[in-house]
Amino acid sequence: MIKEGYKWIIIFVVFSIPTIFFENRLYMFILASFFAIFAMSWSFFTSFSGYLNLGHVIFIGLAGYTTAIFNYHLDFPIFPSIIIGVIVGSGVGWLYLYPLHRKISGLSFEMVTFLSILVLSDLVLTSYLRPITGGDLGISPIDTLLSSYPLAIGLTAFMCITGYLFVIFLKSDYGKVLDFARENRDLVKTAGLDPHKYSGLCLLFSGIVGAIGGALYIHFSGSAGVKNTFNLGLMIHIIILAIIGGRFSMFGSLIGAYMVVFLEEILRGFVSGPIENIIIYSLGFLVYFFSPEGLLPRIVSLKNILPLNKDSVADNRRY
Amino acid sequence: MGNGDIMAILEVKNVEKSFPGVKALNRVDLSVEEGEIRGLIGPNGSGKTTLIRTIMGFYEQDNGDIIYNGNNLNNLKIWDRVKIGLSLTYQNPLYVSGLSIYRHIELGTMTHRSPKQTILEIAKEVYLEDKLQEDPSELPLLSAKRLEIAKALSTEPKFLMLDEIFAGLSYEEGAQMINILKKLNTENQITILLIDHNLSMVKKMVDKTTVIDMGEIIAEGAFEDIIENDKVKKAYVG
Repeated sequence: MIKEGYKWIIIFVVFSIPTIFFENRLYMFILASFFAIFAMSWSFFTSFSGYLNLGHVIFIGLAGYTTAIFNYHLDFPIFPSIIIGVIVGSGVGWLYLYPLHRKISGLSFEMVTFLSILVLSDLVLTSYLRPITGGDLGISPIDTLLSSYPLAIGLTAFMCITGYLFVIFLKSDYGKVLDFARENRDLVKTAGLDPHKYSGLCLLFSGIVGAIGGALYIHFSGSAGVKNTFNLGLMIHIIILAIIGGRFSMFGSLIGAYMVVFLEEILRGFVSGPIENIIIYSLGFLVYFFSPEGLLPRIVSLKNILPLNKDSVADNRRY
Repeated sequence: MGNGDIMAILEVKNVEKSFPGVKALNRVDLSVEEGEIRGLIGPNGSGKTTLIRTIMGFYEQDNGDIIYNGNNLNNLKIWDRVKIGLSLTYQNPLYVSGLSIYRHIELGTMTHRSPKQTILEIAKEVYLEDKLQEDPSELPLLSAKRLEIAKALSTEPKFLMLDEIFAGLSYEEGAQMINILKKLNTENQITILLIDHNLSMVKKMVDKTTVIDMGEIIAEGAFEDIIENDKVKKAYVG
């Protein structure tokens, strides 16, 4: 536990230092931290519970719209709005997804979560909700978290604390049960344990972090709309970040987010938006095809730190 | 209550279970006494596995009651049934490749927070104490079946259902398994319901045998008697 803590302190230091030297790129570091938080929180549930959650943006979107509504329509100050957004986003999102994951799994769960995003993305655009959600234009302007050094450091700290807590959870008895549950739920049931209790808790933590990230992200963006909330593209983007870095480790998802956000920034100077997307999606495709565990385990294994052949050593799980 | 003063630990009363197009269990009555080793035999597809999976809670019966230790199990989930003392081993050993034998045994101890020492003691009971750090996928069949027993023991069962535990084992291996199971029955006071096609092993193990065919109980009694029963002969030979 202490060793893991030191590891995440080092990660915090390593990812904070560049913000000092590249102040003109502060925006990119903040954006990368947001996407790292999204990728880690998605990966935490999906990779370790065995449910492919295509509806993680439900947490982000509910929190985002709620904070924007309270801030814009009800004139709540920014931080109370964010707190309400997080409570509503994680609470309502969990109350919706928890029963679903108890009842259905596999392709059914994937399809239902996928369709949920499509329903929500159109729901906020309907004329009935337009007075509240702002329709196509979204809710704007809302109080904005400016790109600043304290925000960058604060977000990096939150990202690292989240990563640390996720790893501690996965190494606890809860994580041990999840290791079995994602492979075979009957095995867990006949051990006298309710597998859904464990995956449900995992979903809750994943949702809380996703909702915190979502509420902050909306105020960083300055508006709440479909594009930065209930958006299939955003969902796919989050998945690709985790896949590229390595979705079976929290640090892998984090690295994936930083790599892609900075790669996108570099590409932006040379190619158009669609070409940029093609390159990123293709990168995700190639990584998933050639190294399904992501780039981080591949890179680390080159240094013989982490053996790739996990089957040869029982319990060789890294998070 | 069963015969005499011995209490029935498990009573299956008039249980019925149908799957689309198939009546898998038809008015099944079964009473197993505490401390007994009961054999449950029958031809392929007779309903043996359906019955124990219904008792365990994998299937919900359409009609009837299952009473364990005086408690009606009808509304209990699988994990709740395990917590009150029911356990089951799978015909094909069920494990997660990449997780050690230690972790597999540890999983069942989590409900009662047993110390590490308990895991070692359980492993010793099934002669796996030297293999605790190994991957179950690398185990030979006998050891994998022992792991099934160890997993069941980790939940501290009082009533253990064994699904084809002798399947695939040689005569010598079967004899070793019988020793383990008889020890569990006598020393750990675990009641056993044994399902198996290997009648020579069943004969060596059981106090009493029940025969099921086409989802119905057709005979019950001492193994030597029921094997001479005309209905049983007809079920097996046709």
